[in-house]
Amino acid sequence: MMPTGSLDLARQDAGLSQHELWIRYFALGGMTPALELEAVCHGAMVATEFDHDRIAHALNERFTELGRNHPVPYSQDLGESPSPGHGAGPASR
Amino acid sequence: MAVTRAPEFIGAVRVNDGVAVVTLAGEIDMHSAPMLHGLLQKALGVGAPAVVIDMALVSFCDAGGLGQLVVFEKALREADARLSIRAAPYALRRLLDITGLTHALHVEAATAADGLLSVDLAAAARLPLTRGVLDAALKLVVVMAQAVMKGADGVSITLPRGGRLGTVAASNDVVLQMDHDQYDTGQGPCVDAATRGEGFTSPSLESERRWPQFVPRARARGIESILSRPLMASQRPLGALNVYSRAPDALASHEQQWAIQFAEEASTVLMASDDTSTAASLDAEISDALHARETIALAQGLVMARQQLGPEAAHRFLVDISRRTSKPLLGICQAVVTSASRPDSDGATSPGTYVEERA
Repeated sequence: MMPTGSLDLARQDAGLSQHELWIRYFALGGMTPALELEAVCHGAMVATEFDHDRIAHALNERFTELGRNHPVPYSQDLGESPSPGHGAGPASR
Repeated sequence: MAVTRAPEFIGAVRVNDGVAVVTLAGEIDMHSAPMLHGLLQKALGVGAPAVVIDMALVSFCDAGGLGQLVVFEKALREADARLSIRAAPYALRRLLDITGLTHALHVEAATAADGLLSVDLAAAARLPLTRGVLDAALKLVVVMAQAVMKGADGVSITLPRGGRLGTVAASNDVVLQMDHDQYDTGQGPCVDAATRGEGFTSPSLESERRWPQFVPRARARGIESILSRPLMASQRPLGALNVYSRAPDALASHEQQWAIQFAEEASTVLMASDDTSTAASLDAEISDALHARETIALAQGLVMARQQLGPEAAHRFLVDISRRTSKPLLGICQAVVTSASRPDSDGATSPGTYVEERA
């Protein structure tokens, strides 16, 4: 698991406001309300792996815009069991 | 004392120490509107220097009723008499507050006798205006503006919604169509007022040369003169109040003054509703985000079907591509959707391969 509050540190590092992050996460199909997303970022609530990956991806897309690599780990990078979808596509070829 | 009665409305006019007192009770709506009109005419006919309308027992008042009160106040003022409204119940006070009429109609402050009411009012003043309340308030502004302006055949309010201009309140269908003609052509006084923050007047469309695509459409709908005033918040143009007339030169300086006043009222309503600049851009943001979600969901569905994956796995599949190619997920999904709609697309092609070829 990521250290508590590290998603929020990443958000600050990416120069996104709470609201901006929520809009990006929402655009990626996220369903968690803005206030709860804030709680998740601060580590006060635990997101599902799937939701964590959406938040991570919203942050990583921002980092890409800033010319940086994808510094926020996805659930599979955190030693979670690989998702059933992983490996099915060209990613594993 | 003259008494008028209808099934759900009753009103009376009496004269007390030189003051005409109109007492109203029940519902003021389209059914009771003619009776209200009759009562107000009687009160006007008294010729008293002051008229008090007691609304303590009014349970409902629609926009038309408020419009009548505005017209009545104007008639009294022209006769050097003064109107005041007494004991307006909570809901009506709130409505008058929102529409900025509390001052214009001289609504008396709540007295000690209704102390509880004042507490409620204080709480209500802090309540944010929801979009429904906001639209209702703007609709009232439109109805009253049309009631007051003699030359006006229609009044509307334009605001940006979802990133583009739209009509949020219109006094009739012709006005609504007129607004849409302007959004469609991207031309017209309403579009210019809403985007440039200046007033635009066209006293006669016959000789109008500024909006060549819009003007013929307006004239085809029987409109001959137009007046648009910007709605402003913190010196930024936010929308427009539009007045249309079927007669040329019908919107004289008197109407222009009213239009300025009603545009100010509508701006006040908007500013009371929220920080409107934020609200407008939030609208656009949410609309864009919803559009992105739709595309992503569509691509996810295609991947589910082609790769025989569940929803989460399909989403991860797309995120993986986005991650490896450092292309935004939305772009990947747009490519997937586009590839699916190409006539030469065969189901066997993996969307991932397709995207990678193109990426």
